[in-house]
Amino acid sequence: MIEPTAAKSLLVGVRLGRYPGLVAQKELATYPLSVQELADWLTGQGEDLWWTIDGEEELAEKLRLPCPADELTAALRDRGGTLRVIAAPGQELPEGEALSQANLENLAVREGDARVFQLAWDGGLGDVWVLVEDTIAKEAIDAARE
Amino acid sequence: MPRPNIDLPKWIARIPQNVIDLPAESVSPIRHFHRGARDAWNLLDYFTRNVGRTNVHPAAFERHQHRLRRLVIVALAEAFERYLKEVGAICVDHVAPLVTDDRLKVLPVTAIGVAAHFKEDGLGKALCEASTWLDCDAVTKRFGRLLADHHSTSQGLRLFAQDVDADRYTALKTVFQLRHSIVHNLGVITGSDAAKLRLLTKREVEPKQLWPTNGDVMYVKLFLEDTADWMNEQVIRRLETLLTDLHGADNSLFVPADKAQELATQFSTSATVAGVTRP
Repeated sequence: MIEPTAAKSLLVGVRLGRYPGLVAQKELATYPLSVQELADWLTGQGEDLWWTIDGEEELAEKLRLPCPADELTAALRDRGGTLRVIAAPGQELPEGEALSQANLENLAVREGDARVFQLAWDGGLGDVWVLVEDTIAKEAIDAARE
Repeated sequence: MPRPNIDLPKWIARIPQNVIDLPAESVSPIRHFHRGARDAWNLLDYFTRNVGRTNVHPAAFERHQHRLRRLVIVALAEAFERYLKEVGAICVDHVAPLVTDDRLKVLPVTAIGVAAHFKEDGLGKALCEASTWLDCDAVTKRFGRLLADHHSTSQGLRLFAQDVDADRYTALKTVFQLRHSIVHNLGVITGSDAAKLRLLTKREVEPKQLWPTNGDVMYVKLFLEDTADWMNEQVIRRLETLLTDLHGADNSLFVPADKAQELATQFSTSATVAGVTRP
């Protein structure tokens, strides 16, 4: 079990588009979170939601994305490890507050109806990827069920 | 201010210099296809989420979104065609050196097309890359002949045929026809396109501009992913049998463990050749 620690500001490298050599260094607050906790949180959001990831090909290859939460959580649990959840500027948690399932929602960026999380594997400086609630896929799948 | 005089042919000639490495998945056609399909979907997803939430003109957003959906459908179809070509090339490279019949005649190649591939690693790419693989009947005929038993005139494998899976056959023909309308007529369904689509879908189709929904793109993606996975399994199992038979006739042709390992890597699944399995 990874104990959530207080937030600290880290230099996070953000790779720029198709130029992998160019990395912009930004001071962003990041918070550790075990994949177990993320998987539990995803399960708690409901089985009917669909999710996709963008920028993490090793995990993506094990899935048919977008996918329902149970497929994603199984792949996450198989991989294991710890993530760093990156807070968008202005969305940092209060000083001293640790990240858990209870407040993970606060770090979600709203893009339309979708919640988006910026993530990096712990220690993977620069390799930022996103976890996206795929509302477009859900809408398409729901329509096909009718 | 007068427009600057730009040497456009010079700048056009520089475009092929703007390249990056192939993704790691390109060692395996099925992994390469899935990477392409994922990337195509993520493009639409990203655009819709991020542009849709800004204060854009709704009508302009709607128009651009529909155009992007057409492009993503094409990207999915092209990723699938690339998958067909890459698998075709693998089949040629594995089988051609081991047989003496005329199976390669099934591939439509020209001298100039082959000449351009002299620097390629294998015969397969030279024979498969230049031609179009967007016709169910042609694809079925090519794989059937490439994977036939040695000196046999019957097809070694049947992929996209009415009698194999009518629904898959019709749906794939429909996807190829939609791609044709988008690529060759900028999304306009011409009168003849409408007539073909009418027969394929068994519904009236109006000769108008194609205006797909997000769901349409999603369904194409899911269908092509399912079809690629299914085909991957069909082809590797047939290759296992064919290579095992060829090895049985002459066990000095190749080392089974090496072949099994190559197949396992290329098809991203376990493979067994002449009793030797590689995960």
